[in-house]
Amino acid sequence: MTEAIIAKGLVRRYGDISVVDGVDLELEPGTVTALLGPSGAGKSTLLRLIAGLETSDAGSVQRGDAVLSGPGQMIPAERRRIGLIFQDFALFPHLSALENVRFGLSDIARAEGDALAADWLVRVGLADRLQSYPHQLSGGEQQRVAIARALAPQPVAILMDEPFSGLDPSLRQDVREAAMGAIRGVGIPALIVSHDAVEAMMVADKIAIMHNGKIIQAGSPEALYTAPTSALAAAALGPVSETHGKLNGRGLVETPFGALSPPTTSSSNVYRIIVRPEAVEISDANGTSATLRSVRSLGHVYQFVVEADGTRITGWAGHPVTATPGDAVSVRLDETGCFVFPAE
Amino acid sequence: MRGFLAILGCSLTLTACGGGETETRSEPTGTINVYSARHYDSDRQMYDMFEDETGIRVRFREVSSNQLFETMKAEGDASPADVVIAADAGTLWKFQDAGLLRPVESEVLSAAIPEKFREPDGHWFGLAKRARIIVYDPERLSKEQVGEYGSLADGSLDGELCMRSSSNIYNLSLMSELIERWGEDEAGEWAKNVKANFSRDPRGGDTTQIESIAAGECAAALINHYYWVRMATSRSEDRRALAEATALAFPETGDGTHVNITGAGIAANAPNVEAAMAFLEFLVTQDGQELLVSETKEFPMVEGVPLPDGLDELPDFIESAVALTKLGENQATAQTLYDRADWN
Amino acid sequence: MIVPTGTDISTTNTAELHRRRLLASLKVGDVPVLVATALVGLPLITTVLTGIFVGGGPVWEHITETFFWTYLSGSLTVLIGVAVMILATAVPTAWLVTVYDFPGRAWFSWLLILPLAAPGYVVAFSYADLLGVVGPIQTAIRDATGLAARDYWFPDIRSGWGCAFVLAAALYPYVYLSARAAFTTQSICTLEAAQSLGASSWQRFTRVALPGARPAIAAGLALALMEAAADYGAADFLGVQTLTVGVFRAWSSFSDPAAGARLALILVALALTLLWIERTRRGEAGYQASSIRWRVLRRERLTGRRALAAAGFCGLVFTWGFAAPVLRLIWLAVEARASTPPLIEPLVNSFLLASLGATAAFVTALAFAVGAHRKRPIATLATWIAAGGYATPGAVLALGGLYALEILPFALTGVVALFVLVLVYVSRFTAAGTGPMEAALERAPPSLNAAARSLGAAPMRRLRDVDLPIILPGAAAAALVLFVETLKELPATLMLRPSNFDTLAVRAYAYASDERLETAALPSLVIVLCGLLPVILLSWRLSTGRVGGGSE
Repeated sequence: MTEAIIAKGLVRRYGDISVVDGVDLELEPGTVTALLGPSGAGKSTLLRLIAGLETSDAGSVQRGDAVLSGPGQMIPAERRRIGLIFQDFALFPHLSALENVRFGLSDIARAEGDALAADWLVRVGLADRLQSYPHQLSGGEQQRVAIARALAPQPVAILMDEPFSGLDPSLRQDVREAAMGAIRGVGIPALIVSHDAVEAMMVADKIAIMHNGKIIQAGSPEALYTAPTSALAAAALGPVSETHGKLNGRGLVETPFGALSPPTTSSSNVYRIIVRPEAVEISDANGTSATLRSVRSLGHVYQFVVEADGTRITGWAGHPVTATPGDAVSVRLDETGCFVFPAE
Repeated sequence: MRGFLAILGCSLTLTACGGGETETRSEPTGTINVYSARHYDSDRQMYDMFEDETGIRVRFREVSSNQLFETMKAEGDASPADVVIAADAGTLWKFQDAGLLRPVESEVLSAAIPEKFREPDGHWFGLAKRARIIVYDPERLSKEQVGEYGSLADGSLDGELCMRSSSNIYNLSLMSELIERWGEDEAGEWAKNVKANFSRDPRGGDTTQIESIAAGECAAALINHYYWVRMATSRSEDRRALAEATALAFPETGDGTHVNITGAGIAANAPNVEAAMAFLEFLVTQDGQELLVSETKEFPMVEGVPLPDGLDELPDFIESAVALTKLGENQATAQTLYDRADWN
Repeated sequence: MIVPTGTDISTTNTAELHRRRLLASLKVGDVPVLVATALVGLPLITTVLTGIFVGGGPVWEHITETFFWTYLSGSLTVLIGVAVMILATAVPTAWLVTVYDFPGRAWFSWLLILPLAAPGYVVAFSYADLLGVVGPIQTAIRDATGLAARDYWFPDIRSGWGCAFVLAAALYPYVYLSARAAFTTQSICTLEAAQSLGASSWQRFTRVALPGARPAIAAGLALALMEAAADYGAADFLGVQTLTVGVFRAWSSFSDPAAGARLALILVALALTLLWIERTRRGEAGYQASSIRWRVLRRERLTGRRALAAAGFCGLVFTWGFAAPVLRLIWLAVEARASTPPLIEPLVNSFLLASLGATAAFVTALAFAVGAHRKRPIATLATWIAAGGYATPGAVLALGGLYALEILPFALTGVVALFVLVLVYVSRFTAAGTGPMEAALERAPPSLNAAARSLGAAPMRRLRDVDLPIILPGAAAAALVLFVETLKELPATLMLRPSNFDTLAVRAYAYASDERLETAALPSLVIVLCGLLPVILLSWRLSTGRVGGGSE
């Protein structure tokens, strides 16, 4: 009964700026898709287009074979049965937790609806807060109510706009687990908008990276992390440093920190290299000579900065770095964490 | 919205929507609109009595004469006003001068009202009389010192006079009469000398001047007689005591005491002239006269009408013979003379 | 009490994107707001255009030759006097009730707001009698000393400073409220820091609290001065020639509304300047307040002579603003009991007119507030136009209405007069209604509507089950405020009311200017009584602390 939500060629313009610029995206049943990107990338607008809160200028949104919006066609949000969860929770301030959840169950008999709503609140761990009003609930509790409210009417999909970023970091983990557990439990397509790469990788089966209104890469978290197709995509999933290199006589890209293989499809001579910190190693020998600039413990790793040829990159080490800043060290790059792109 | 307003407007102000339909019949009926510059509760009894006797409905609007004037001008041809009642011949002259009054003839009015108290062409008719007299502190001044308007200019009263603003119509009308009596030069000289005797800058109304004398701020002032009478007949013992601390002087020599009127005329665009005439004629009956002056403490216009409480104790006095029409004509000159004397 | 709140609609990151989004979002639903905006702006815009292009006739020349400097100096005296007296009373009382505890503090904290209930002209009636030459105070002086009035000096209530004294008494709560809110919300932590650095309580007041509260105080003072500049009744009754009185007279004595409109240009410029100050300072005050964590204040307990001085000062200010003028009116009304004026008819008229005016202003305010909440671009313009009307004296707006009629083929009779008067009320008071509504709507983020839609709620259900319940408390307050403001309004009502239609305010004013103060006392008291309703509601909401602006 659950079907995929499919966006094809969606465009949304404000004046002559395309905030969403030809997006294709498929949300599959039982799959959580994360939409990742900096603010202003058009993530929220894309979510609102799928939800039917805004009208697209081109392209379509379908549920299975049924068109939700397309040229000359627009099923309004209130008839799409797509659940929404917001950063600010958006609970109705004049209604109790139970009444909030009950709001979407208006076509069910009263007693039955109340029971169903209460059941959902129990499921998200709020058995004792049924009669509380939003201002009496903590942020985490409010978001749980919002999740129960969105899921209770058995939506065909669920869309979440930065759902956890309004929460205290100490609560975030719990609420996120409760929320994602409940959502996975119903097996519907789910979309979560986020600007937090760690969160996206933690909750999503699939990540779509959005930039300037376009989806620049989509795939499993692992695929995106290990094989980004652009510098932007690489940077989107975690901290990176950048260096540069030139093709040498042996067909390798020579960087200040060692040689790397060029991408097979490229014929360029000049390259930019995106380096993940875990790909930088301080080795005993065989490496390229560089100067250690700083070392700092982040708790689980030691973060260091090395410099060669006037370029600095950041690396992580699992064990204490014995050298002190200013010392010459030998550096090696692990190719799996370095991404070589032809420079323009 | 507008329709709703219109309906409500009609129900609030029947005059505006229904009053315009006039039928000419020999026996006056219907409704008249009285525009009055008076605000006395006894006037309502007067209107009620007229309604009872004639079956003509009275609708009235009470505002200051300046606003009455502006309102009638703004209303123009559509003005529902039938009768204008205002204090002071100078004011009535202003209405006449602006073409807001129509001349009418009535044997009843001609018989009841002495000639000098009505406009020769019948634009307006005096209905009650007020005397502008001198109030003084008998402990400080003798009656001889303040017996005449001219006495107030005497150097011996230096620092003894309180006056209200010269722009007040009562002072303007008095000056208009003095111009008629003495000529412009002498009247102007009088204003200068009176101003030189001020104990303080002009302030407040006629009542304020009586209070100032009672409190010893000054020793003489010009007032309309009824302000003193109202104070002397007040239910408040304190107020009565104030009046009792002062004495009145009615100028006797020359042309005697300046007498002004409360008067009425029929509006130029009166929708219901016959009924308006009936109303004016009612005002000179004994009942009309008694109600007209019962609260204001003016003198009734018609011979033989009993005086209201408090007036019988006033002395007989000589009424000025200067025609009231002169008051309006001299008004602009009067203000100029005051301005030259620097009497604000 | 009527604090037009600014509408900040900036949400997106780039201004350009923002602007385009606004442009792109103009909708059919904006048309009613657009029409209402035009109507609200009509009187003010007509006055300004008339003043600029038509007002220069012989009457204008006469005014500039004779009265202009009198009017200007009269207005300046009143405004300066009001500012000085308000700052000297409102700020110290706000400080005392906020940081100290002394006998009666809890009472004074809300009693000090009550003068908002009494319009300036009513306070003027009362003080003209109280401080007049035969009033109780001067009589007592004479009885005690045996002097006559000429032998001693006593300040003249019928003067520019006297008028300032009266208006400051009626208007100081604007500053008291904003100063108190500022002291409560913004300076607790800094005050404690100052204390730990060894600052005395006087230094804490002058060097820490006062500079911090300055934007809020300036905003409150700007509102009070707006009202003082707009006053017609008190100034005219006391014989003070101010610009507003001049505008009224240009119409009533010189029959030249256009010359009045030109004179009014100064008032409009003044009003807009004050509005600008209010808006910008209010913004600063809000920014500071929200950037500091709110803490429960531990009040310092005063004892002995200091407690007595604090209570005495608050008592004095309350007596000045409310107790003395109102008690004197009651005494006058009781003394005049047998000549009680007919009150039923003007009361009914007042209620009818106020209902009509308040309903129209309410609907407009609702449209503006919801529009602003939905971030419609037109609503920003609308809010500013409404604020402009609110800052402009009623007499000036009424002139605009009159002049519009002069151009259009309408005469000022019954229905037209009523329509124009209601229009002027809407123009003058809409901003007073949007404030409480916007405060209520601020509790509701825009995502609520999206949430309701995603839960299948159609437009009617969203209005019924979401928007209306949320706006209801604010709307009720707004309706009450609008009703009472309309009830108290004097100059525009004097100028524009239909025939045969006296309101309480008009009647009280007519009696008073007829030198029958004791007859004016009762209708004046009824006006004060009606005015007390929203003031008590306001102080209750402030003390329970669930209003927008988060004052206490």
